[in-house]
Amino acid sequence: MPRPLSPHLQVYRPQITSVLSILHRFTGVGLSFGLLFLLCWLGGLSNGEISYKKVTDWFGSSLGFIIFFKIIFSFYYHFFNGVRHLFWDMGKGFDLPTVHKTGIFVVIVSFLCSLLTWGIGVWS
Amino acid sequence: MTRLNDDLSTIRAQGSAQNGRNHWKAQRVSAVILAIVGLWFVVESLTFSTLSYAQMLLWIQLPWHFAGISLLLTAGCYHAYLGLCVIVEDYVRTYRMGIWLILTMLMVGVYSLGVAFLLKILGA
Repeated sequence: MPRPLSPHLQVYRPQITSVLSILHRFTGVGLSFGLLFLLCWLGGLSNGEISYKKVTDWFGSSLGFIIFFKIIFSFYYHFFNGVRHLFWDMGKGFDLPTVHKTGIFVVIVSFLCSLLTWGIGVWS
Repeated sequence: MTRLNDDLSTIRAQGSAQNGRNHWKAQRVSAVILAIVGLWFVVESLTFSTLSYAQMLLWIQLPWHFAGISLLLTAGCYHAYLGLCVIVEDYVRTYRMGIWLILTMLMVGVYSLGVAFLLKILGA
């Protein structure tokens, strides 16, 4: 018989520490799917001009673009929060004010980079 | 139903669970590699929509670019595999024999597909 878990989602108020942590895991899974998109792109590129055009057209379509933007945000968020994790691995930045500050910094920078990427992508 | 062995002897016979050191270290090493190569790829990909098919092929066939994409694929698949293993270990309560085998084979499959595409691009 499986053992019961103590309640967590029903009890604790979402805070920046917990939300950013689960977002890191969530974007990680999303990026695993993004790897499949990289594979699609490589497949289109390897299969000739027509397939490549099909793939890039799908990426540029509205559904493809939405998914693409989510992957871009996932990448930037996972990247910057990953750097934050690596600093923690070195033992730096563990005190709570720093955790909060770096957390907000990570979210803002991820959004900015995503918008920048989107802007440059649309412009070119 | 009568069993010939009790739970304690079953658990003892399975031996030690070893340690998680290598998993942790491999995750961090692949993260650093992926941070560099992934950022490089995202920055380079901003110009991809302006390139024609032939130009894109030429771009990817340059040695450093090809090495970069290969590294992205390798480190990406490995990092994703390690991360997904952790997620499975966290959320799956009853372990079935096939779970890690399925995960491993998925990753190896994705990786081989990527390698196949890259080799085809190299030959084109």
